[in-house]
Amino acid sequence: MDERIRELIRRQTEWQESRKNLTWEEKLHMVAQVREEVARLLPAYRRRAPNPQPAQEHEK
Amino acid sequence: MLNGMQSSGVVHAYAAFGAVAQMRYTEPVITLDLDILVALPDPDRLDLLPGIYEFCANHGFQTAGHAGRVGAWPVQFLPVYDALTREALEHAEICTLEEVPIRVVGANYLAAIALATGRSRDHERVLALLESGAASRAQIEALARRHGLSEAWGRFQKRLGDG
Repeated sequence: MDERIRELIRRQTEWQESRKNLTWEEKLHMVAQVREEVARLLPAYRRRAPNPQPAQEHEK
Repeated sequence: MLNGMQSSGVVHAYAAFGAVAQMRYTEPVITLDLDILVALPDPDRLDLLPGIYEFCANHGFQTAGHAGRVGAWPVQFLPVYDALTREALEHAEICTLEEVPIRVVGANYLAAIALATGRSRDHERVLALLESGAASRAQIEALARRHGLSEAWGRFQKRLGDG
């Protein structure tokens, strides 16, 4: 196996293991932050969307 | 908020379930809401949730599109809807979240409820709980047998290729 692929798999496994080792509260904080970030990005994404839905047109 | 709701009699009992509860045992999964199972004082009423909405509004927990909020989490309330969810609520475990005690549905019940719901992502939840070692096949099978889910359990195992 290519050394770079091996390294990538090693890092991915390490990342997965580190997520498992978080406390419940840490996991919830992580997911809450992702959720807030998605909510924050959503308006910009909608503005850029090529074919907005009728409801989104209404927002403009 | 949840403990206050229980002590003031708005709900008889509550427990977190769904993805938030699952994350006690597995790696993080993306979810938008905190799902809360509730037992209500008068479950025969048609309008089940106004008491909860009123409590949240009066205590400043209300948030757009949801009944309430616990910490950073918008909350969805779901009244117990069958014997399994009622039993899951009765056997909920007490954990701590942001230094506040919170009741949470345990791993085997989470798996059994997911089994009953039966979508692909629910099967993923059962698998994740089994792989984490928090839920056991024997316990899930026993719950499945008692709550008429033996067929669903069989389907799940077949899907895994070991049924």
